[in-house]
Amino acid sequence: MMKKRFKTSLLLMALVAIMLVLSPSTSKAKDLPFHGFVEQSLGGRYDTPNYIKDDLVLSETRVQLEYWNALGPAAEFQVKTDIVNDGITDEAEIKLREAYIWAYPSPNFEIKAGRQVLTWGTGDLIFINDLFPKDYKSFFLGRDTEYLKAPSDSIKFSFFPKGSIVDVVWTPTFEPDRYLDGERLTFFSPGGTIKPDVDNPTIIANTPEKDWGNGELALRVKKNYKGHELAFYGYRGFHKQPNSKLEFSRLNTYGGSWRSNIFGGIGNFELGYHDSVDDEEGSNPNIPNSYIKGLIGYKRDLGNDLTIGLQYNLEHMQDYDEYKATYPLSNKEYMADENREVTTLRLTKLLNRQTVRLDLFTYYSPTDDDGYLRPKVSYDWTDNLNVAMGGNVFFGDKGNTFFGQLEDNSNLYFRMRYSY
Amino acid sequence: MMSKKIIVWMLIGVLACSFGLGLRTKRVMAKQLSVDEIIQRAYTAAYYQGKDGRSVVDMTIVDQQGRRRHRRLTMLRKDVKNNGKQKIYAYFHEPADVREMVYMVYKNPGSQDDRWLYLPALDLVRRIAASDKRSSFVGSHFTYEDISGRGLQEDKHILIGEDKDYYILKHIPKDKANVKFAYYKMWIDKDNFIPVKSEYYDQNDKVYRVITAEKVEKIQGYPTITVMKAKNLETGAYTINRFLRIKYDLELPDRIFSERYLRRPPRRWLR
Repeated sequence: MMKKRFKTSLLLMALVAIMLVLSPSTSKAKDLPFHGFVEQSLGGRYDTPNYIKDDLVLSETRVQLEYWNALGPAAEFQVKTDIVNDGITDEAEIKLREAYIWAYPSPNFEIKAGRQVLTWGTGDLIFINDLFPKDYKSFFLGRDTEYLKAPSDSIKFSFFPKGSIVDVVWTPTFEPDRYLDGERLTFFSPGGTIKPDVDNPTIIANTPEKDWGNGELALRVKKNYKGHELAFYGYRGFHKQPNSKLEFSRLNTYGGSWRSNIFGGIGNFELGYHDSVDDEEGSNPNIPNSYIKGLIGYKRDLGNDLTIGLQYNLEHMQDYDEYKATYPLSNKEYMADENREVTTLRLTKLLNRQTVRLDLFTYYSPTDDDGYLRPKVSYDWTDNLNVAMGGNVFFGDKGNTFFGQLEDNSNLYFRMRYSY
Repeated sequence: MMSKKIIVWMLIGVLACSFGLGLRTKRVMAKQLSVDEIIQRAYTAAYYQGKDGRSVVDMTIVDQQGRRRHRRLTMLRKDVKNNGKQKIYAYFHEPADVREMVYMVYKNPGSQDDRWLYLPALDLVRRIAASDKRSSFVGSHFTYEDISGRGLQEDKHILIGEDKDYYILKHIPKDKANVKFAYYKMWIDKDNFIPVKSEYYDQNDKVYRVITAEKVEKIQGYPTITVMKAKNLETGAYTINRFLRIKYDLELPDRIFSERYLRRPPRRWLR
């Protein structure tokens, strides 16, 4: 099996090399109806614990194909698909990432329907009012940051009254996060640390019945007022991660954000109230409590292509007394704090005519005493070929905190991508 | 009493003289322009031609080893006020990994620009910190300031000379700490006010960078630079910008310069 994996990798690198030689200029690229990339990735743990047998966490060849065209004067469509040959599961899969029709019948109304990736909010890798599905597996494994956002099958209605934007997104079938399920990554469970098993992932949660009432509705109203971006958000749906009963409890969120130039940089502030509808009192130990979440951030260009960004995120649990009182006595040491704080730092430096990019993103939680570092070096070897190397480094004192539990998954990865 | 004949000849003479004078009026009047007027006109010619405009920028970046990189983007520009507030929408075509990314700027002379970058793969509208205008624009030898215009109030402008075709100006930055050059000189064409050459000098009075207008054409009556070159004299590396498919006064709707069109590029204007 290893031999086959190796052979495929060699073949693909040869293919990339041929493409390099045959097309020294990118002028042909714009004439192609298809665009996309061919990428080879490899990633593994650098300090594999005894209870895990395989170092390798990422070994895949990914071909992305993207096609766009107009549909008359007032509409267009786009299809984006990934063909993935996974060296760990030894399977080839076709993953449709985007497939939507975008119609704009009038100047004040648009509708985008189909599979699409959606993002809003002001945080940098911290989401308070963006309840669109996230793929934490890809995020922790070293796939491109693009894959942190998972697509959803939705219809987005957009209205544009007087220079503001009103987006209403209806997702008829609930789309949870691609949560950690024990397929490849180990994580904490009160019953014992999850051992990764590609063929038999431990966690399989039950999504709500497919029913008109069990969809998701997300709303955003945004206006740019003299450089100040103000937005209000709402969400009606479910928690994106399964609860301890492996089900998804209901969630409504309300929030707002501000972003603008300030003190020579960019400042942002975001607030959200996560209302755990199925457990308003906070006394159900199997359902997460309601939370107030806040974020404040600042980023600045320090000159010479060096930028710095800082964020402070606070998650305040409502009804903490009820939570304490009903928490199972046997697991009291794993009880969460009333306030969880996370600070982030991002440093980016460009070198060599902006062809080399050094990037470091760090999460650190002073309350959980854990953190997660995402260092990355990327080089545009040619206009089409990019090579990247990075790491996902988790650390923490306790084995049950959000980042600390992933310590044994710390990995390094390497990616080579040919874009056309 | 003068005969009618003499009066008529005198009148003809006066007319002839004023006609002759009139022909040279343009240049004569131009000579009497103040430095401020010259730089205002040059600024308009370089960055504010027409009320709005579209051009495809084809960029070839050549490093000191002769290796080439290529960038291609379509720029839409709309003036809010001549030589003042301006909106720019830049849609990237090449290289392949930045395809469909959009860079949008609300230029606010005298204060911070508002800048955004849209990443289509993530559907992410990122706000960009605008402090450093001297950094390279997409890895080329043009800085962000070269592309969008350096604020006129940032330098002291002196007319150091002129010849038959050009005004020669010297610009000294008011805030020396914030720039790499000690001063720069500019040659401005007397007929169309196009800055045809800019030389950047370091602290030792040595030219280290030159930007030249390699080709100037008249498009829709507006003198336009269609080929521009920025060269680093220390390394020999340079970037050539070719401006193609230029069109002015398209009556670009204001709404294009908004988040709505970051997410959905206005194909009509980008074709």
